[in-house]
This record gives sequence, structure tokens and C-alpha cells, in this order.
Amino acid sequence: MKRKYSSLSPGSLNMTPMIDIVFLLISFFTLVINFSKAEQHEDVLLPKSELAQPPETVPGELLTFQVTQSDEIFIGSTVCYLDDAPRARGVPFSKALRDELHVIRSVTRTDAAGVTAVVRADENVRTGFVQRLIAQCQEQGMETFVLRARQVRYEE
Amino acid sequence: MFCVVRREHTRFWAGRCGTGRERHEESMGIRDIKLRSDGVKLQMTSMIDVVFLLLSFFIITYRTPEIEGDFNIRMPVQVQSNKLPSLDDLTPVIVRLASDSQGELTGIVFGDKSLGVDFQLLRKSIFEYIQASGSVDFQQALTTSVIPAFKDDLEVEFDCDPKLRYKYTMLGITAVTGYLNGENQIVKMVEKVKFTPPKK
Repeated sequence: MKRKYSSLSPGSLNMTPMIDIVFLLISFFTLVINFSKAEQHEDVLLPKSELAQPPETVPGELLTFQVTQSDEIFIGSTVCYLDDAPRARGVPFSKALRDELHVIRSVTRTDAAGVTAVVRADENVRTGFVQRLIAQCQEQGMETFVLRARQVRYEE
Repeated sequence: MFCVVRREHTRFWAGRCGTGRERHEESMGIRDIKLRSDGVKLQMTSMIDVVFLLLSFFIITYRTPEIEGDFNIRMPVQVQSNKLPSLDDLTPVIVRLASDSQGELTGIVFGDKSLGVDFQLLRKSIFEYIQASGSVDFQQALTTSVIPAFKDDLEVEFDCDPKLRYKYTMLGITAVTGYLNGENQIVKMVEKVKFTPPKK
């Protein structure tokens, strides 16, 4: 019996494999899409480090500070500025930090010393700015800090 | 392109739902669901449009995830007291990073030794400083899986110029905290890192 390979007229496209591939691609992207980017910020390009590795143990309470190149600090969606450098936009950092620590304390009964500050600072931020941020956190009683970097492995 | 695809696609499905092919498949027992020309037809064109829109969205917004890692520093507030400071408080090793007015690195000083702007030299200096016995060469440690014994509880304090770009500070912290050995494994040298109080 002679097998018929295609019933389509010459010159027409067979759409079935293309639609199959399109659906496979959509399935792939749907599965790999990352919804856990809430901690990231589009204006922050983290500094590189060949030793940066995801932490093996997750500390208790975390409070993330996003520090942009334009000296803005984001706590969640709240824009802050350091108290000694007032700006037109945002709220004083110490006030925002005090509010956040108050919420954490009332919800989880963790005091400031038990909260870990995660500093996600842009690679071009001045180091002095990060130091002043840490100093203001210390004034509120925070003791543990985490400096975040992106992992880059240099090939020799 | 989408217009051509849609036209060809419509022609294709019109051909598939035609009575000739349907009769052939019914006679062969292939199809269980019968689509007749006078019955309900699936309008595939709009679905394919949506599928292409979805695909475009995913392709445009897709970014390869970057691996992020942490460097832990513990910096409690220094409280004035009459007690004698502990041994740890007395023995931090100072690494100074100097910068120009643009924030570019101009010098690394470890103790009283100037290291230029070479972070690998800083790593080597720390390696030699904290190695307990001194039996393993730095290059040997980098290229093999030999892990030397290091002194515990060494603390490194970074004294950075305020204008220094943060990326250089992170490179300095990376250099003192460890290295990748010959098998690409991370070997930790210094666990405790802190900053000097901010300068006015």
C-alpha cells in the first residue's frame, strides 16, 4: 500500500508541527518563569564576586535594603534617604526603619538584634554611603548584616 | 508574517475539517470526534493569535536567573564600658582601600604593606598571614585540592575611603574571605569581616 505523506496541496504550510513546538515553548517558559523576584530591584546592579554563594542556612528575620546608584534606599516599596542627606523624594531612613522593626517586633516578637539586614547595594554606590546605612541600622539595635553579591566565576 | 501564518493556518484547518478527509478518517476508524461542516467548528485562528502573544511575552521577558550570594558581617554597636576589651576586639587586621575623587581604587594597604591595586596580592598576603604552619604555597593551594590549616577567629576590618565604589569593597571582601582551589571549590580563609566606623 502506497503511503500518503501529506494531503495538503503543494506550496501550503503544514501547521501542526509548528503549533506543537509553540505549545512546547510556552510550556517551557511557563515552567521556568521565576515569580520569586520580589527581593530584586531593577535599578540595582549587584557587585560581582566569585565566592558569592546562596546561603546554606536561612537566618530568621530578614529586612532587605535596596541601595541604588542615585543614593536612594528602598525598603520594600518605600523610598528612603539617609537622615544626613535629605532629598525631595522619600522618607527619612531612620523613621522607615523604625516602623519596619516595629512591625516585625509586633508580628514575630523578634527584637532588632535578631533581625538580619540584607544590603543589596549597587556596585557603583559609594562605600561611605553603605557604611552610613549600616551605622544607622546599628543605632536602631541591629547587629547582623549580609552584603549581597552576584556570583561570577572567572575562567582562567 | 503572522498574516501569512494565519492565512495558511485557516486554509489548513479548512482542509482538515472538509468532508473528504472526514469520511476517509471515519472509514478508517481514526476519529472519535466528528466535525461536520454544518456542526460546531473550532475557531483556531484567535487561539493561535493568543498563543503567539503569550510566546512573545515569555520570550521578551525571559532573563536567565543570576545566582546571588551573601557575605555575613557582624557589627554590634560599640558600647562604652569599663570592662577590658576581649582578645578579638584587640586583634582585627586592617585592610585599607584608598580611592580617588571618582571612586576608582588607587591603593590597597594590608597592615603596613602596600599592595598596589592587586586583589590577588591581597588574597596571597592574607593566605600567608593566617596559615598556621606555612607549609602550603599559595599557588599550590590555588591549583590543587590541598587545604591548609588556617588560624581561627581572625577578624579583618576594612577601612575604605568614603568615595570608593562599592564594587571594589566587595572585591576586597571576596579576596580576604577565601579562594577557589584547583577543583573549583570555595576554601574559606576569614569568616569575620567588618567595617571601620563611617568617616565624616
